[in-house]
Amino acid sequence: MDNLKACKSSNKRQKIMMMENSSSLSKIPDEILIDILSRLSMKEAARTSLVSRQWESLWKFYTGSLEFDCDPETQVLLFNGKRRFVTEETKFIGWVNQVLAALSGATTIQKFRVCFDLGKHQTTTIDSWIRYVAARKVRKLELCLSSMLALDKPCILSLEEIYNFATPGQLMKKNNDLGNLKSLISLRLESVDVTDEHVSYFLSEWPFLEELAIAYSPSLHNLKVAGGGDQLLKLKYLEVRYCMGLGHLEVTAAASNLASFNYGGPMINMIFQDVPRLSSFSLDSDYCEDLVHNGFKGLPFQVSQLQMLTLDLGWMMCCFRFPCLNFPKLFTSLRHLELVFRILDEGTMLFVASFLRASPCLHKLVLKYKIDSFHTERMKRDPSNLEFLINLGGLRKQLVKKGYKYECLKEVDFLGWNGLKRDIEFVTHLIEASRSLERVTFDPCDPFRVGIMKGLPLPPDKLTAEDDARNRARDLESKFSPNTKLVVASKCHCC
Amino acid sequence: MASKGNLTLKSCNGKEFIVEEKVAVMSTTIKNMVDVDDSFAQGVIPIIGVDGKILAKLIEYCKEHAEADEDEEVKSEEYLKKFDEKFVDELNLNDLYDLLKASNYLEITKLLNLLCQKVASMIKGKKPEEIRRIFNIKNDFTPEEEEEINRQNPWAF
Repeated sequence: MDNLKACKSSNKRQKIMMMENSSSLSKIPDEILIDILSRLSMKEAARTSLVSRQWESLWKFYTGSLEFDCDPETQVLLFNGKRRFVTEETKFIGWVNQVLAALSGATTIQKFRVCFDLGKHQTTTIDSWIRYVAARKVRKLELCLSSMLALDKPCILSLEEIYNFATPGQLMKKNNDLGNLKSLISLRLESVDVTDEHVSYFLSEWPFLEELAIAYSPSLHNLKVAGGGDQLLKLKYLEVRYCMGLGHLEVTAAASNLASFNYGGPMINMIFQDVPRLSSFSLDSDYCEDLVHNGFKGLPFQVSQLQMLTLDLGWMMCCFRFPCLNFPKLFTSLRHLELVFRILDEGTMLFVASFLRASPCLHKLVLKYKIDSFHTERMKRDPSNLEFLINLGGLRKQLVKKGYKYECLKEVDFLGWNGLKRDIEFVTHLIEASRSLERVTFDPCDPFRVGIMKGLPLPPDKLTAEDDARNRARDLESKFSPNTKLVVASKCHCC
Repeated sequence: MASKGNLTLKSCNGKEFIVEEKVAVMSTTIKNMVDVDDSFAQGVIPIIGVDGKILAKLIEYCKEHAEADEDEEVKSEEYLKKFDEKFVDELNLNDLYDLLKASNYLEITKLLNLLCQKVASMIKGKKPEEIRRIFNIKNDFTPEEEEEINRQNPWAF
C-alpha cells in the first residue's frame, strides 16, 4: 500500500515537473526554435520532426543548408556497376523533390548543394530546383554535377562522358527573371558547362557575390573578372580548377577585394591588375613546376604580399633535379605554407628546407604526402632518379653548415606520415634548424582519401601500416625539446 | 538616478541596475528607446518580462562584449570565445530558455546567436527520444503517426 502511494505521488510530481518544463519550452517563440533548427544539418533537422507535433510543424520552416550528396555506399556500388545508374538517378531526384516540397514554409534558404551525376537530359529538373531556391533568396549555391570526377582517377570515364555536363538553363540564361539570385554570396559550379559570358553575367548582376568557384567546365576560354561599369566587386575568393579550354585569365582592378585565389589546371596566361588584399594563393598544376623553376618570377602579383601559400608540387621533388632550390628570401610575409607532393620511399624531403629558408616569418608548415603506388613503381624504374638519390647523402649536414635556421616556425603537420628514413631525416633537420617549434602533428591517414574512397573501409594491412607509422612517430619524442608538443593522430578522421 | 553616460534598467520584479550606456545599447531595443525618447536616458528604463536574475546575466554578457568592442587589445577574440563558452555552459535549462526569450525581446543579436548555437549543439547527433528527454518534451504522436513520419523521410533516419 505504502509502495503504491509513493509511486502515485512520485508520478504526480513527475507530471507537475513535466508540465512546468514543457511550458518553459513552449514559451520560446517558434521563430527562435526555427532559428535553432536551421543551424543543424538538413538530416538532423528533419529528424527532429519526430520529437513532437510542435517540432514536426517547425521542420517545414527550415532555412538552413539543403545539401544533397549521393551517399558513399551507393557511390561505391554505382562505381563497381553493382547498381543501375538510372534507378539511383530517379531515386536521387525524387529525394530532392520530396524535401523541397516538404519545406513549404521556408522563406529563405541558406545553402543549396546538389552533388550527383546529372547530365544534360536533366536540365529541366535542375532548372526547377534553381527556380525554387532563387524564390527563397538562396545565399550559397553549389552544383557538382559529376561526382565521379571527385575521384583521383577521372581517366576511367571516356572524354565524352566527362563532357556530358548539364547546363542549368535558368542559371545561365541572360535576362532571366531570377532577380532573387542577386542574394547569392557564394556560387560553386563543378562539371557545369559555364562559358565566359556566364561568368561576366554573374559578376556584374549579382552584387553580393563573395565567392566564385568553377571547376571542370570545358567551355571557359577567356575568363575576365570585372564588374559592370565602374562597379567594385565584393569578390573575396576566386577558384578556377581544371577548365581545360582556358587560355587566359584577367583579374581587373574591380576585384580589389580579392583575398584568396585558387588555381589548378593547364598553363594559362594570367594578368592581374592591382589586387592589394590578395594574401592567400593556392596552385595545383603544371604551373607549379614552371613557377618553382623560375624562382616565382612568373607570378602575376607580388609574392611578398602572400600570407598563405599552397603548392601542389606533384612529382617534381621526386625526380630531384633540384633538391636544393636556393630561393632568395622571397616570401617575406608568409605565415602558413602547405606543400603537397609525391615522393619515392628512397627520396629525400630536404627540398622543403629551401621553401622554409625563403619564408623568414613562417609560422605553420603543412606537409601532405600524395600516395600513388602505380606511379611510384614507374619512377623507380628510371635509374637516373635512384642514382641521383644515392648521391644525396650528407646533404642534411650541409644545410646546417649553410646556416638554415627557422626562427618563427611554431607548428608542423605531417599528413600522410609514414616514418620512413626520408621522413626521420627531415624531422632531424627540423629539430636542428628550429628552436621555436611548439607543436608537431603526425597523421598517417592518407590526406587524399576523398570522394567515394572515403566511404570504403581500410584493408587490414593498411591499418597495420598506419599503426606502425604512429609508433615510429612516438619514437621521435625524446629527440624533441620539452617545449615541443608531439601529437600523434590516433584515429583516421575519415573512419 | 544615473549619472551622465549611465542608464538605469529596471527588471520586472523591481531590481534596478545602473549600467554604462555603451553596455545597455548592445540591446537594439534599448538603443531605439534611448534614441527616440531622451527621457529614457534620464529616467528608469523598465525591462518588461525579464526578472532581476536574468537581467543581471544579460548585463554581465553585454559588459564583456561592449568592452571588447571598444578595445580589442584588452580583450582578445580568444578571451571572448572562452568567456562565451563558460557563459553558456553554466546555464541551467530554465535560465537558457529565459535568456533566449529575453535576448530575442531586447534584440541582443550576438547573445541570441550564441544561445541558439548552444541549443543546436545540444540537439546535434541526438535521437528524437534523447531530445525529448533533454528538453522535457512530451511525445504527443500516436505510433501510427510516428511510423508515417518515418516513412516520409527515410533518408533522415
